[in-house]
Amino acid sequence: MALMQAISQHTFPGFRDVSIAFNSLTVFFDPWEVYQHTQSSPLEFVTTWLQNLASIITSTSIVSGKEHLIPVCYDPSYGPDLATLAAYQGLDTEEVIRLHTSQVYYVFMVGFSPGFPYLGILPDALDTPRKASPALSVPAGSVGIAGKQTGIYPFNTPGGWNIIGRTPMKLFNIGDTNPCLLKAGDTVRFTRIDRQTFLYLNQYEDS
Amino acid sequence: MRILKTGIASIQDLGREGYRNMGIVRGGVMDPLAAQLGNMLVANTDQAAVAEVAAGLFSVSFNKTQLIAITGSGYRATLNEQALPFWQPALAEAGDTLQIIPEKGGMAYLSVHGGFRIAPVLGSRSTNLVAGFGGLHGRLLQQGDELPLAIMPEPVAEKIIRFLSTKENVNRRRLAPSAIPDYSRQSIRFVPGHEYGSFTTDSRRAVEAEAFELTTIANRMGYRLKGQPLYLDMQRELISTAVVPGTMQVSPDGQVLVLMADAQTAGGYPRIGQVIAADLPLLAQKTAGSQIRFTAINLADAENTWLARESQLRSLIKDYNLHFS
Repeated sequence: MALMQAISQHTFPGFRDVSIAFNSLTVFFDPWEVYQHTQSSPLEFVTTWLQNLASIITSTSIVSGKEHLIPVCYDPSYGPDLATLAAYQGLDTEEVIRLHTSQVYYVFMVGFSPGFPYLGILPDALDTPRKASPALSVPAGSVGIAGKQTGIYPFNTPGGWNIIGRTPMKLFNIGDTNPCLLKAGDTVRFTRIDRQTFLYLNQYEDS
Repeated sequence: MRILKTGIASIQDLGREGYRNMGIVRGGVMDPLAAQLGNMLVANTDQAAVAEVAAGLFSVSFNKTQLIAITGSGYRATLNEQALPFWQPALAEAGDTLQIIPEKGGMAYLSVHGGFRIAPVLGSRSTNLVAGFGGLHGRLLQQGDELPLAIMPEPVAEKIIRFLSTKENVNRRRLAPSAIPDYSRQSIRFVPGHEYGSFTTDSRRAVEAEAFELTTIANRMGYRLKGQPLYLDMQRELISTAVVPGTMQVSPDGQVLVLMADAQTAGGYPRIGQVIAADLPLLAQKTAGSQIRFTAINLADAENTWLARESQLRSLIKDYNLHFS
């Protein structure tokens, strides 16, 4: 995170983007534009540039992200895989919900589809493999579990995560100045809501 | 410009950069070279939005004289039922009907001078189909859509239009054969990927020695291939990292999926290779049933290939503009 902030503040001609994942960082650049300035290998230039920048970063203190409280309805109609997941773990569904809402999660990255947050780390008791065959369409707002991660689908897309509930909150809104509700570095806590509250809060007009 | 008929077609440009941390991909045209050449022919900048025809018959009518060009592969075109060659500037008059007709299929591009004047979203007019934004209302083009175009031609376009207005000049500004991309090449070059060394010796041999067939599971997100299964020497779970168009992912069944323009921003499957950017247009134009062969090259060669291609394209664009100014 510190390196990413440093990169965003010291870009070079030809720089296009920087993205972070769990334990990696990727710099995107236009080789032709870099070459116009360096007249030598763009890859070597960017590699050296990145190494120099990384070596001068002194502080690894992370500028803390926002804290979010995300309401989730764990009603079986919204969490089709909740019972299966509970059975797999030898727990009852109430215990799964209690565990899922019992801790603060860190947003490791946003990816897969616009606004999709990869949250972790789940308690061991909820660590569950992806479904053997992915669902063809997971409804927008669905909250899922895959391995030690939990995440939220911002759009109706295919997906292999075990769906245990649904949030009425929109995670991505192109009309907003900041289209993504969650950013890498933010923290999230889930809070349980009932069906009535879900319908009242629902921001997805088509569901 | 009005859409009379369309299969799978969308508005694209060279894509949006700078939003990967929101999970937003660059997207954009599948065959950037064809789109860039088309934009050059109609005196547009690289950033102008074009229509990408990915499947089916595409037909439009014009209500005003427009400078247009068709590029790409796998289709033929007609203007008022007269054959219209690809890779050249042409005039469409008010009331004219343009048809882009599929033959073996691939990607065809319609460039119009001034580009399609749709409001950019996050710096681009490319259609993001997953999130439903960009392009025209964030969706594929539909019959009846009206696409806004520029009113006044710019000086270079004005000169091209005047040149083409003389009857004997109509077909005289076709790109030189050497400048038209060669889509017949079977071999696609790649750079070994992060997990290349973790594949079995046999798999590393097979990826270059065997042919892979492009399946019908091929869209803007990725092209699934069928061939000899490739395996890691030891099965293990990977942590998701950034992936880009051209990334050759190997799924647990040993088959290769090459990620294309609209692929997700991160992935967790082992990457045996990365198709070089210079060969992505060639791959994008392959159709179901095509036999594909992969050839490994090193990173320095990939970089030099790209810089050489970019340098050629830039000087071609410069010459073309000089010719008409």
